[in-house]
Amino acid sequence: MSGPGGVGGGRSYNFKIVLLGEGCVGKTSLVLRYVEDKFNDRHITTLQASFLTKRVNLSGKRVNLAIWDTAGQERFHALGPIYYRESHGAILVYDITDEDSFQKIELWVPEKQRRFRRKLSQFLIGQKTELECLHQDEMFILKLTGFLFVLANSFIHCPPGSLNQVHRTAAVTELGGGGAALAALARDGSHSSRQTRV
Amino acid sequence: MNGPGVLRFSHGDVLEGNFLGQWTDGVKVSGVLRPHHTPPSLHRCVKKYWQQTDNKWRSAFDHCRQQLGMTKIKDPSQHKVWECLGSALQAEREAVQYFQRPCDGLDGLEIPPIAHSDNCLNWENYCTIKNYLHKAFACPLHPLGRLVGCLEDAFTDSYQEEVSHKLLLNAAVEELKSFNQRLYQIVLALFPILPEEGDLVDLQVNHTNTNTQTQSISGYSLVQRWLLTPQIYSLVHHFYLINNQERDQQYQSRLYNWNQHADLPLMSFLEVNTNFWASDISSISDRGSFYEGGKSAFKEAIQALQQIPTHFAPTKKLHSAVTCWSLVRELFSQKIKKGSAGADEMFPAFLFVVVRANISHLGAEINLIEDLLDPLLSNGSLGYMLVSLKACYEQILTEKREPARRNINMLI
Repeated sequence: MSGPGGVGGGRSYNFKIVLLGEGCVGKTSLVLRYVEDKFNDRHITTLQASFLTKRVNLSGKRVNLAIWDTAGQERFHALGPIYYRESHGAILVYDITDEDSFQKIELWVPEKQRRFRRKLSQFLIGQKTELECLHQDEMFILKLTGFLFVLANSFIHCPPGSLNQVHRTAAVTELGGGGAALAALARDGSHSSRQTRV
Repeated sequence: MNGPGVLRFSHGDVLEGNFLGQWTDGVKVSGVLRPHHTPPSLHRCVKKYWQQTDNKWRSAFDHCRQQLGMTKIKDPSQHKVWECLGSALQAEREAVQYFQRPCDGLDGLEIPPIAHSDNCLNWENYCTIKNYLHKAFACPLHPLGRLVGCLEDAFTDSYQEEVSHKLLLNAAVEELKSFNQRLYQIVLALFPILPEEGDLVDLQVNHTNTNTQTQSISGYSLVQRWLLTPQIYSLVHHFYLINNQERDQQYQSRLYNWNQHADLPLMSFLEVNTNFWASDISSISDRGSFYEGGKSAFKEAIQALQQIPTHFAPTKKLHSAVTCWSLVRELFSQKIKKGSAGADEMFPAFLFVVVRANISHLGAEINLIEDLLDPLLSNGSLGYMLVSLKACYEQILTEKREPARRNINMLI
């Protein structure tokens, strides 16, 4: 789903990404840190920390990421679908010191796969065709897909030393439908958006 | 034939069971008949008289466009439109003077509030345009004000409260959306600087170095606030009330039960972070106020949320929710020094505020906002608030547990 916008011409693309995972695994600190680390001009919204927006430039195309945080407590699990409706990606977060939180992620995954994964991959394909029609700029599409993937994936790949600082949190990603091909794309396509080493 | 099977009727009913016998002799069936309930379609009922939504009340729009010189030439220049507006207003003024009636609010409306050469939209000129439009829509002699007056009459005549029925809801909403779009096209001719339909523009609200706040502006929601006049709003709102009656009643009885509980038990029931009220407990010795501690801390947030039903425009309703959320977040940063105000902490506290705010028809409000909010805004912070409100509403309706009983006894 793309939303045009911006003053003075030039389209921008809007993406909604939802954070899912048990309570207190550090979803928020992870993303806050991630956003702070990676981007200098951190954008402040009134809903700060629960709702973060980030603008990035990919091949001169403006991409707006809206990162939606959700409450992870077990009693609020049923509310997940309300949040990830019409979203473009999700980041599943668990605490590597807490096996239970990893087990619980299984609870999110099947549900997400059922309701959402198909739609997500559809988005990537659909978006790709749409963008191709609009720009015929394949590199941009690759970078965009890659970026979304890296955004989630770099949490897994962050070096051990940085683990303390990201609250010993690791993330499993379902963004971009997974797969080594996408990861490779991401590596080639958007090294500018890789996670900075701590 | 002999055996289990499913028989589907063309009108949607389904017969599932065991079938035995020949078609020619008649088939013996033992099974379940599931009648299919298709909601009757308004379009089907009144097909003969059905008017395309975008054609409805066209003459009212045409009259306004004619006054602004938009019918004779295709895409007239901004300069031309303002010229026509000037002469239209002059004619109105003369007519009014002839009948010796007061012509309040007409002064200065023929002068464009911003220079035609201005071609970059920023917060200042956006506000200037908004002020101008506010006056224009309020003045019954201005083409825009007259048009909205016309639409209001047309809409109230079509959907009077006495005849309002669930079936009419979709038609009414579609009509309102169409009004909104067509109205914006006219406004756009007066102010081409505004974003095209379907565009979102982020404007920086204040220009301090450390804190840049941006607000997303869409033309659709800019005009909406004047289209939703008290009469139109009350009709639409009424539709949503009858549409959500059942769920809202369940919700209200739930809330009635929950609100019998004092703050502390309710907060612990909703798993609100204890630190939100911990400091209050130590400072308050009196038992009564001990239990009211939470409420007083959240008082402002509750009041902010209670503003939702008082606004007409969906964006304004959601801005009240944003204010409420940021008040809770402020409280969070005051009381809880470490950690970040993520949804794990914020959502339960917000849920507590929603429960205490006790908005009687929250379901109707949510549906109204959902239907009328510009879809472009649904990914932004307003969209986040809408989804959070919806999540709270669903949570209140589906929560299986009840706050612990013993706490009531403690209070007594």
